[in-house]
Amino acid sequence: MGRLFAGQRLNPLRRQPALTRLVLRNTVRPHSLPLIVPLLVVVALCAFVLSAIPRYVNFISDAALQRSVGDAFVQRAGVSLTSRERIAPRPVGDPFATLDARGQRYNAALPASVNHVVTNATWLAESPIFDLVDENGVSAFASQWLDASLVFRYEPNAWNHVSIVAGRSPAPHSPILLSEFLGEPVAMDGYLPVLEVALSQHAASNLNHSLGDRFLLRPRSDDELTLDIPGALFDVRAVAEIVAVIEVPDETDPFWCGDPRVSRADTWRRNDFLFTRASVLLAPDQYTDVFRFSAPIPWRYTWRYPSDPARFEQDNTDAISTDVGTLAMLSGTPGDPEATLDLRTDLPALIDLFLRQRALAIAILAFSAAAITAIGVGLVLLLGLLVSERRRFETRLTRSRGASAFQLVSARLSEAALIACPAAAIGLLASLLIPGRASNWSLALAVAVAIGATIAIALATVPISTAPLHIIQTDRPGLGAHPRRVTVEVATIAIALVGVYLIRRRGFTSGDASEPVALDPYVIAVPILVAIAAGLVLLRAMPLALRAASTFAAHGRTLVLFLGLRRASARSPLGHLPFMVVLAAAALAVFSGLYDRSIATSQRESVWQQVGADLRIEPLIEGGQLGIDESIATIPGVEAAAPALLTTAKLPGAATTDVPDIQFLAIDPNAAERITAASPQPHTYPATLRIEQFSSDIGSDMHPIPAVLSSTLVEGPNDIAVGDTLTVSAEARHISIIVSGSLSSLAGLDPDAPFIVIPYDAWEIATAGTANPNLALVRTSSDDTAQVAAEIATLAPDARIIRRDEVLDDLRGAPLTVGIVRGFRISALFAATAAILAVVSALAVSARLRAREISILRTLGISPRGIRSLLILESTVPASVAVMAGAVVGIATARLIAPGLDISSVTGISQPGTLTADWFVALLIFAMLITLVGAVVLFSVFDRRIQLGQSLRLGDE
Amino acid sequence: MTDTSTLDFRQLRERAANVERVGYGAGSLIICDNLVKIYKVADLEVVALQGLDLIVDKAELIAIVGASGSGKSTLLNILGGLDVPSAGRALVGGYDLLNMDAKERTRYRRQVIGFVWQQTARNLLPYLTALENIEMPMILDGMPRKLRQERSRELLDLVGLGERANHRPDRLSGGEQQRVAIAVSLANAPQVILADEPTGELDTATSNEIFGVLRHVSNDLGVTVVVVTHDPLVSDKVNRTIAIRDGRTSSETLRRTETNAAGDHNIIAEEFAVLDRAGRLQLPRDYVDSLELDRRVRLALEADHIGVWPDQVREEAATGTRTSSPARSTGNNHEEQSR
Repeated sequence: MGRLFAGQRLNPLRRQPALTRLVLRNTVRPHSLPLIVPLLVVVALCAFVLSAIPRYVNFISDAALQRSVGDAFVQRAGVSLTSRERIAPRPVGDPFATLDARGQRYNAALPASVNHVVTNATWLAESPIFDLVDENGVSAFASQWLDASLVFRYEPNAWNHVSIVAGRSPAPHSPILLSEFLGEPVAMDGYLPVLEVALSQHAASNLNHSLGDRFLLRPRSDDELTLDIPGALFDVRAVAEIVAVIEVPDETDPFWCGDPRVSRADTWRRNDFLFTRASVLLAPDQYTDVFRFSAPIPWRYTWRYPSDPARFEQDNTDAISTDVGTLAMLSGTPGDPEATLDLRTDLPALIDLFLRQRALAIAILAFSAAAITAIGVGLVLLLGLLVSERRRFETRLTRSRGASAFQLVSARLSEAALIACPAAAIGLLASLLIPGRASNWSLALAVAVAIGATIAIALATVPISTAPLHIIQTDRPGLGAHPRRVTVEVATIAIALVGVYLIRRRGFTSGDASEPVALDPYVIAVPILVAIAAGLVLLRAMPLALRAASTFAAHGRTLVLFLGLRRASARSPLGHLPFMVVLAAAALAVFSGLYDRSIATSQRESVWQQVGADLRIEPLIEGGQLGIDESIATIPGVEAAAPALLTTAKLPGAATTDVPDIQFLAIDPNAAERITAASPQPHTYPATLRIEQFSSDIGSDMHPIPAVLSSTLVEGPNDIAVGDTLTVSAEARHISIIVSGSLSSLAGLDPDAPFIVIPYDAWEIATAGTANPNLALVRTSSDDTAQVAAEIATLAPDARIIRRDEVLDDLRGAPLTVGIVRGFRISALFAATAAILAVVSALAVSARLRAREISILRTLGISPRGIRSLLILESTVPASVAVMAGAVVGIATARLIAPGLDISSVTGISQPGTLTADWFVALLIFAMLITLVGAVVLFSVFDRRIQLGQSLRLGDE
Repeated sequence: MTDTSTLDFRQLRERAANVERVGYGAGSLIICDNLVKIYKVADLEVVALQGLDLIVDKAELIAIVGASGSGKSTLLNILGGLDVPSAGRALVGGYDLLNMDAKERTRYRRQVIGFVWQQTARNLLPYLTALENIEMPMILDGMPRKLRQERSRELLDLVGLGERANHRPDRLSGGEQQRVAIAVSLANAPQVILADEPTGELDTATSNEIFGVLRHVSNDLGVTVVVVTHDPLVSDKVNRTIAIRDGRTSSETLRRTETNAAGDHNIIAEEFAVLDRAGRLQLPRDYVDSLELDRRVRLALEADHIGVWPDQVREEAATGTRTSSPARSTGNNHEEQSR
């Protein structure tokens, strides 16, 4: 018979669609669905996660940036330009209207990136600082250790944002004679201008004056505005009279740009002096007088451009940082030859801090994405191999009919594309539900997933399409010890080990503090390489171990145990691949869980370190007083309270050149121990500090105060030992202490600075009762914290109350931290899902082959219950080994790379966070084991009953 | 004899190229010459074919029989291009099965060979209809759609299943599936059809049907059909039966039909021992056992036959008597004596 068809054959490409159509018939068979559906799910999940991450990164980055800017002091987060010059105010109307025009000119000159984020530009004019003096020009309250001063302030529409609570609006006043002011004749009399001022009650109280009071003013000599002014000009200049007490209804009104100085006097303490400076308002037409008598001292004019946090996006941070620096070019604007502009903004610092935190978040999310991708690829490859295995018969038949490897792989490629592309599209669409700005990366990653999955599925068919037909007829294509394969496996393990070494040295991000941070994809992939390397070792070692175990089991009386282990060990290499996926998944889950737990623990520790108690009460102003005493212990809900003094100290006699300022804490030791009992750094003091009654000369050389020092002091260069007596200088006092013990850290104190702790009672005696506590630590019952805080706030309006639970919530709620933690949790969840899919898919594929073997066993007399036990045993034993091995890999990898993965920016502590492998990790491993065993048990229950006769007639297939 | 001393090398080469070569099996479709196949199983080497010789001409319908493990399936796999011989020569339709690359092997399987397996389920893709199963090899070969649809229907009609074109295999009986399988094997008009126990799962009546189709294919379409079987009923249906034993062809049975004077048709079957190119032949097992032939035999060349005698030395050693020697001893004996 000759050749039937002598015509032109279709070229290979034109043949492909018809062949592909035939192959696709197989795809939609119910027979194929147990593998096709998981493929769809895995590809869709991978596409969803990878597409969602760029959006989510945008979301958390924008939120973090906006929060960072929003939480910062308003003036730090905006831009202010300050000029020191003399601009004569207009006698009528708006005295400084020209500043408005200047501000608009500066506004127009702002770079576009800065202009985009600022809003509500305002300006204000401030006079030089005037001291309250007596007729001799000396500070009026020197004897009271009070340094009082004021500044005349003009702000457009300020009077619309204050209310007069007492007195009347200021008005012009005729000058008075100095003798008239003093009420007695003076040698050199003269007229002094009188300025009617309005100020807040807080300011009046701090100035030691009240409504109706008059006081003399003189320019302050150490004001930066007066540095170039000859000393002879510093004489008494004017009289101020308080005619109005005002209040600011809303200090948070954006009009004030976060500046509280009209509402409250600026107050601080230095040594034993209390400094207070008030900002006062005048009648608009009085500024001319002030300007005149303050000549030639320049004034301070500030144009403020506060930022709107909602306008910040991570994409414009680089431009802002760069452009802010150019604002200095605004100085020396033509037309203002005497102007020197002082640019103040913390935007670059805020942005820099944000970028560093974001780099860590992106690194961790990129790692999560890479890990999920790797496991996804592994799972897709595994499912693809299982599909090929499932189609062994069809492939063999088609090849025997003359199909080439190219035709088979091409058909599979088309089939794979038809599976992967819609799944990836679904994943991409689902990612639109994730909040955040759209990113081109989402589409690119979804396309990459589709292409990668297509190639992976098609590649999985290459072994069976190219292996010699006689091999696939009877044997399973093996992963034997082929030299090339062994070389690849050894190389993979070597690369993984090198990667671990690199990441310990370099960290996750490259670059130093002065360079932009950059991600190194290789070191991000290191944990994945380690898991793959461990999987390869498991692939080789597990059959041997199982066989050895089966040999032991053979001596027992249980057939099922022996059979199950022997069957598990005799599994083909393809049969062990699912457990490689399980190992990788377990490693990822444990790694993620470990870091999740460690971050939470470190955050809790850092907040305890920072706050020191459930409630921490400090004065609002530096150096101020608390206004509370031990009576707060009687407030309902308070379980313990400890007023304390926290200040800095020095050791005069010691070699202190290398020692920073020492934190000096005087506190009741017993109360402190009760308050910090639940803290990771509890206060524990020796008995010598818990004496109830100290001698009256405690603190002298005869009776030094027992003290606990930080370990850095005791072990440091000062050669201090327990039992030594030292002299300490604190709060302008010198006291003697005796070292009774040392501690590494204490809750509530800066962990980076050394400390000395003494009993508060001893300090009170040593300071003769003049000590005033400036700190209080309070322990509350967990449900009453808010109520107690509110109660204390009413008792001490000048105190700042810091709640530990709020600080912790704030730390945990930081957008980037939330993103990082979620990244870890999603990785763990994906890993668990992948592990279950891998095991169940493998079981589904091997069902038919297993049916024949089990049918033979049943003809020999094994019961259905025994069969079920066999199935469970032969799957759960390798799965459990893989989970345990994966857990070890996960923990080891986490510990190995911990020095390179600095999580301190999300934990709030200065030291790199330590990893906490406690009960949580054990619980996670146990949960994974139970989940896998449960999945196998469920599968065995729902697996269809085997028809003995039918299965024994199956032959090779 | 032609004096070649005056010819130069070029001329000698031309003369050599023009000489007709009449080699072993020249003109046959299937030539197996000293075919060897060795499998390695774990650490063991199994010699499945031990120098098998086979000649099959075009349009023959032959059966290959043999016990389990004799090598017949191995031979079939080699002829089908599913396996590669270890040594020897195997030519089918001009294709050298020992030296084909992957591309040639694919073309060989696609265009030269058609395969029919024993298990009916193994011949057809279960998710394709009968027509689509037949079309598949044509798609692989690049036949245009219209042409292949026409041909597929022709082939289905040829095997008597024209009305079952759109039925999937699970809706066809075992015999119908095998008939479709035969149609599939004919899809690309192969020169050879290899059938491995094609009637193994079928009842007698259906088997006869299937064989009828195969005979029709061989006789009318001129396709060479090689059937591997251990069923004596099958081997009775073919003109030539080749028995394989221990990896070599051991005997051939030729059948012919003779008509006697009364007009009755008688089928005459003659069994021959196969003599390979090295002059080896396999003695029938029952012959060997009946004469207790073991290790070596004595041969005697007669005018028209060669006699095979048991080994006398052993017999003398066993009985202590010497029998008369055969009429004429072998040349080897002479050489031994002259030394």
